[in-house]
Amino acid sequence: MATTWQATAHVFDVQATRHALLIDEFAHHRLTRWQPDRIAAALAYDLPLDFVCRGRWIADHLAELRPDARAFVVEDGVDKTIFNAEGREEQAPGTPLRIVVDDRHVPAGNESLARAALDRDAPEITHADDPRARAQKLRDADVVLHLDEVGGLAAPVLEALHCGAVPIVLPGGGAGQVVEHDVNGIVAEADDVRGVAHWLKALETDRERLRRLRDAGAQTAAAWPDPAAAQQALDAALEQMVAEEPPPASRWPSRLMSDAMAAATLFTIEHIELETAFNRIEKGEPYRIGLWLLQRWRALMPEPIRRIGRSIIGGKSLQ
Amino acid sequence: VTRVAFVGQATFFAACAQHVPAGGIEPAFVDHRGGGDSGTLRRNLDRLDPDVVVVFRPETVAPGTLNGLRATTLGYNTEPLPRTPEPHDDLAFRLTELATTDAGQYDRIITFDPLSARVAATVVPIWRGLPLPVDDRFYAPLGGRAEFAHHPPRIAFVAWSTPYRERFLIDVKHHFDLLHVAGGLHGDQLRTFLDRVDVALNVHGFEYPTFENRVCLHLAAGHLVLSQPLSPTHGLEPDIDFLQFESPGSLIQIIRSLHAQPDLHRAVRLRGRRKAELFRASRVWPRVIRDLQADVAAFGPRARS
Repeated sequence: MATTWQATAHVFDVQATRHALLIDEFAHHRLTRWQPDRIAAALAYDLPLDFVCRGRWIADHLAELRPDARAFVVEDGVDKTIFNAEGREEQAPGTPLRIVVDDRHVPAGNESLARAALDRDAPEITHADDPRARAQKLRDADVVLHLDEVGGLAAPVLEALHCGAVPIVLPGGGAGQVVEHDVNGIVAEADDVRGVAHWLKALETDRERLRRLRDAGAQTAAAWPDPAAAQQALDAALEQMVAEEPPPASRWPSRLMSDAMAAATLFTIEHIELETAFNRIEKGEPYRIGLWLLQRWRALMPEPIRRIGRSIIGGKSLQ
Repeated sequence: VTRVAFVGQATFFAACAQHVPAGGIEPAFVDHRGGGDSGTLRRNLDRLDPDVVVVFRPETVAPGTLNGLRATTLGYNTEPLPRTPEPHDDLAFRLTELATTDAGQYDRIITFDPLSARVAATVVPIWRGLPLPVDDRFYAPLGGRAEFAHHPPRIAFVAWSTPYRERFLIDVKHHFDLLHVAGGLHGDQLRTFLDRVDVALNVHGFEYPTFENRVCLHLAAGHLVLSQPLSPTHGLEPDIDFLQFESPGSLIQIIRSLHAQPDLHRAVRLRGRRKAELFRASRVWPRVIRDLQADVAAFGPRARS
């Protein structure tokens, strides 16, 4: 079983009765339009494989994309010895809401909806945090802001529910599947800074609501499998996968070439757009003036001064 | 059960309201347009005696019309507004229109465009931002048709013409069959029309970026949507949920690829239809109405930012 789209490059090297791909989110959704990896990642779902899906939402969409293929839903387990609410201390009404930001999905340099909505500093869950550090940060918080537009993974939300933090999420994907609005968390809207800020204020003001959401979240957590139960479910799915023959139609990558051509078309268009933009810049007055200034600089300035200039811009050519 | 009266110009906003009872909402739609008779509107609302009134384009209701209603009132700004100090004339005009709103007759006001909420809040208090929902009647079944109904696929554009739009559409009209409906379709006629279409275009009316609710409508109908960049995105992902183009040349390229292989972008069409569930009226409105009532209970009536 390949556990990433990259691993599908080797999955058929293994002599096996069945070959499968584990999907915890659609990997190409995390890649931008101009990343060619996006093409390869999307094609992984066209391969003649069985699929083990970490969430019903993945299996449902896969059933549309690949009605011929088998998709087994096996939720990922949460380690309840680490992610739990033991030792958690609740704050008295009237005290500021304790917020932790989980922006691990936000690419470096991108704007954070969570940070934009905050009127105060707040700790952050980072990639460097090990599970115990994550659990402690969640236990120290009333609310976790996990505003992932791609809506992929359910794990950050489930860890929060286990630790007693109320998640504020965006709809869709794994988070949207786990969080029911105003039942065990809050489902905010994409781009809506004002709305997210409003929810924080509403939860800070209404501690009874916060408690109700946390209690419902604890019930969701209690019903969620631990790693042992998840492993049992995975074993059962794999046994079924082996015991039953896959549908004959799933043996052939019938969508593969169409999807490859579709992706190539879009990538070509992206190139055309970029080329058009560069051409426009090159014909623009600011670019021409800049180029003229650069040529004058080179012609007039002695080499030592030009060297200082290059050191200031990191040794890169202005062109 | 919460009785909700949706108020707005039916041509534009009936498709954004809830029409079928669901989620504890018993809906009714009241047709009213800017410059319409406020007395008639008030009599209709008194007759319906709703618990909640939702007004699309709150500026179209004359000052004081909603005063004294027992219902909780929600205004919904549906028009694009400035985001920059030197906005396009069209945006500046729309802001002056919104500024005529009698904000005092609304308990809360929301906007479809959270990116202009800060500017909108200079003339009316803005509570939240969310995209206009889509009436359940316009939803095609999930998964939908395996293939397009027509070959070559039928392409449509539903919006009035502007010089900016024609810059994008003129070559499409020359080279392909494009069904351009300038307006006037709603209700069953619109649904019948949507059923006959495979691919829908979205081109902004002017140079400024925005988010047109027709994108959600077409996604719900199971169309493959080709659109200029959307701003805000409302969670829609370019080339995942819809196909994005930035120039007339790119639009032609995409349509050409569809003529060569109609099901080329099938994955995008299927994903777009699934994403459209986020905009389903019977999913969105009960949630918004409950949030509204809870917020008014917590923070009191009258609009606040």
